[in-house]
Amino acid sequence: MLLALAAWLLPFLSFVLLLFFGKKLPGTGDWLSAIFTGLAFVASIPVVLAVFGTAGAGDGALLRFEFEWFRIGETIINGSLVLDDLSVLMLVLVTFISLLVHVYSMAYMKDDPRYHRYWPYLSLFVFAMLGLVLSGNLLITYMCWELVGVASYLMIGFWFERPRAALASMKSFIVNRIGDIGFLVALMSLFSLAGTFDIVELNRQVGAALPANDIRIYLAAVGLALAAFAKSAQFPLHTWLPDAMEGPTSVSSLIHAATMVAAGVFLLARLFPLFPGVILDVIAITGIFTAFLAATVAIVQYDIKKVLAYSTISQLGFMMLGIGTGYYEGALFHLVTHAFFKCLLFLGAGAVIHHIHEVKHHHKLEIGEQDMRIMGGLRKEMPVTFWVYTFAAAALAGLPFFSGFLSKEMILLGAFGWAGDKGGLWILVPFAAVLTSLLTAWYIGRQWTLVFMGQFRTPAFEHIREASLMMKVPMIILGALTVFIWFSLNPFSTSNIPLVSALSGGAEGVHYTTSVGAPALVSWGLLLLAVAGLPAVLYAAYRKFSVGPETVSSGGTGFTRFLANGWYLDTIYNTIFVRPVLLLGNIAQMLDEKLVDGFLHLLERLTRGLSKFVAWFDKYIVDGLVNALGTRVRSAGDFFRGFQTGRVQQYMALSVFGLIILYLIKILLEK
Amino acid sequence: MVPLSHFLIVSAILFCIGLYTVFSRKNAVLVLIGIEFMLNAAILNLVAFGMYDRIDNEGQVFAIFAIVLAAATVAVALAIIINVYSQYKTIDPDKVKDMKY
Repeated sequence: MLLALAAWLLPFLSFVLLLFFGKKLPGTGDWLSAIFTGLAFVASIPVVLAVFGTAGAGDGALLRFEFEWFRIGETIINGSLVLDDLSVLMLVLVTFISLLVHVYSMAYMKDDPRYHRYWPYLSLFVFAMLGLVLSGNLLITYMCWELVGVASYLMIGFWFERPRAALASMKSFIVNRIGDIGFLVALMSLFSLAGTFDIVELNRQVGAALPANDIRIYLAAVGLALAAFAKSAQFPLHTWLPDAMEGPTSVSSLIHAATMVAAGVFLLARLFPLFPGVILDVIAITGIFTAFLAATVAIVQYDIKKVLAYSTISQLGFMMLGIGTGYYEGALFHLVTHAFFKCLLFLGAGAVIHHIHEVKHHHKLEIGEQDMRIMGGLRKEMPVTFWVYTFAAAALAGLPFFSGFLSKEMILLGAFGWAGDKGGLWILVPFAAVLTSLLTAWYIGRQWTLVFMGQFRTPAFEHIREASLMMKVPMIILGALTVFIWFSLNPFSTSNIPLVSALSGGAEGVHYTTSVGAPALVSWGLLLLAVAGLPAVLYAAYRKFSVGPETVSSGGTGFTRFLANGWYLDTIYNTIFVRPVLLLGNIAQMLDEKLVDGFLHLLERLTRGLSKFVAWFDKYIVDGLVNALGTRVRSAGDFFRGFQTGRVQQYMALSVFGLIILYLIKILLEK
Repeated sequence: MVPLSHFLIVSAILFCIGLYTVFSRKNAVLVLIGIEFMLNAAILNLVAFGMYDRIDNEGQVFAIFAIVLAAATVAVALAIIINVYSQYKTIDPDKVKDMKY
């Protein structure tokens, strides 16, 4: 128990330490982050050994760690960790993949100017994901859910000086917010329904109430599905993921394999008993539609990472299909196998990009370092990368003897069983899944051929060197894990896989069990498909794309463009959502400028007019009165001054004259 | 006995001569003489009216006072004229401009 807590908190500790001291530590703290993640992985191993498989008996074996977090009135909210098969599986998966990515990143990110910033983000990412996985309280899950979003935002925008990366990180964050609102709504609905955030309690109470007509159950299920769709990049909220390729490739690999996109699938599996059948059907249909859509788009992409991005969306669609068909242990199994081979694919792609980048700098070439059209023939220069990539591609395509075959087979079988139960047009769903599997083989075969087969399409690449040891080792480990033997002793049968039987044990009998017993015919058909159909498709892809540089130019037909632009969904979203919002913003700005500012300007003008009037009054009325008085006094003075001639005789004459006048007046008065 | 009117006529003539002298002369000393003329016309009047007071002879007494005062006034006036001359090098009243505002 304590070990699980340690595994959770070690990355957090590393995050805090690196955030404050990362720059000062030798090697900017990369070793610290890697060692702490490694310790977390080591700590998770005994936890897995102790818990995994033992919880099959039911809730009794479920380990819990609980403490009072806070209380509001009568309600006590407990913070808790839950260790059951599901969470320990994810625990070990996340720590393992993170450890490998850490080791890989040390080599991959070595020359980045913000190397020291990379590590705390990575630690935060791991911490958030582990919290999400281990939490037994939906509130904590939600917080970690948001933290995962924040970390992904930081990571995708790691090279924020590129405008596209900055935009992509914002897009990812905003699209994920839509899902977060769903989560929040679900959180409130569930609390009002059951009065607790405890996941186990919720599963028991609400699951037992099913099928109920309470609207809140449906509200919660829809909200949770929306949240999962956003995080796990399902239609219609998948558009952030291809753009997220702007981040460093090692981050992409972490996001796609273990942390971010797995969160959605994990959430649905964790709260599986809460979902009413109708919502599960919606999830299944969304999943298969997304899988098909993304696979068609992946076929025409030329960016090496974009192909993998759409492939991830497609594979996540498969997982959603697995959950939607009620066969969630299959979905989780696929999550695990997919984590290994997709992580490997990204690491391999990263190795290719890394070295093409070096060559590009060395030769001062003007080429896109992720463009598959300039690659080709790399198998000779990068043999290790080539071989592990081949393994991962085979696993992704679902060839027998590889892990991808087992998990995909399981989901398909589950889907056939589910459709068989429902009957009618539902049978289209598993057939669409089969078609998507063929498309998967086609696009991965195409990529593999374009990158590694054929001849060099750019002469300068002859000097390319193999990836360094730090990058090779994680890839080789992951390459080994793409083989069937780790999961099942029988490479052709999915019926006896320890991982799956342990997972299904916990939740079976709770709610909505599917008759997985698909007809043997279907089983044999799928096997035949895997043995004959997939290699045929792969070979066709090889034949088509194993060519010189001249023929690998972008096709210009309308349909290709339609696919290459991701069914124009980004354009549609732009028109429907982004533009109106921007328009609204502009209108608000205009209102602000014209109305609010206008009112202020009016006030200002009125005040100015008033003060002008007061100034005029002051100047002409008040001052005018005083001035007029002064002027009169002055003119009077001027008048009297005229008498002061300075001539003595004149004064005398005047005084005599005045005397005479006075005398005359006296005479006149006395008459 | 000479009638009073004769004294008054002589006095009036004296006064008018003095007045004219004061108005018309360009020499401050002559103006002063004009003033003395007018003063003496007034004193003559005092003496003439004194014939109606035979007991106290107040007219004559007042005339003597007036003459003494006139002598003092002339002394002061002449002193002023000397000062004006030393200041302006002239005793023409019209040319003494500094008495203006």
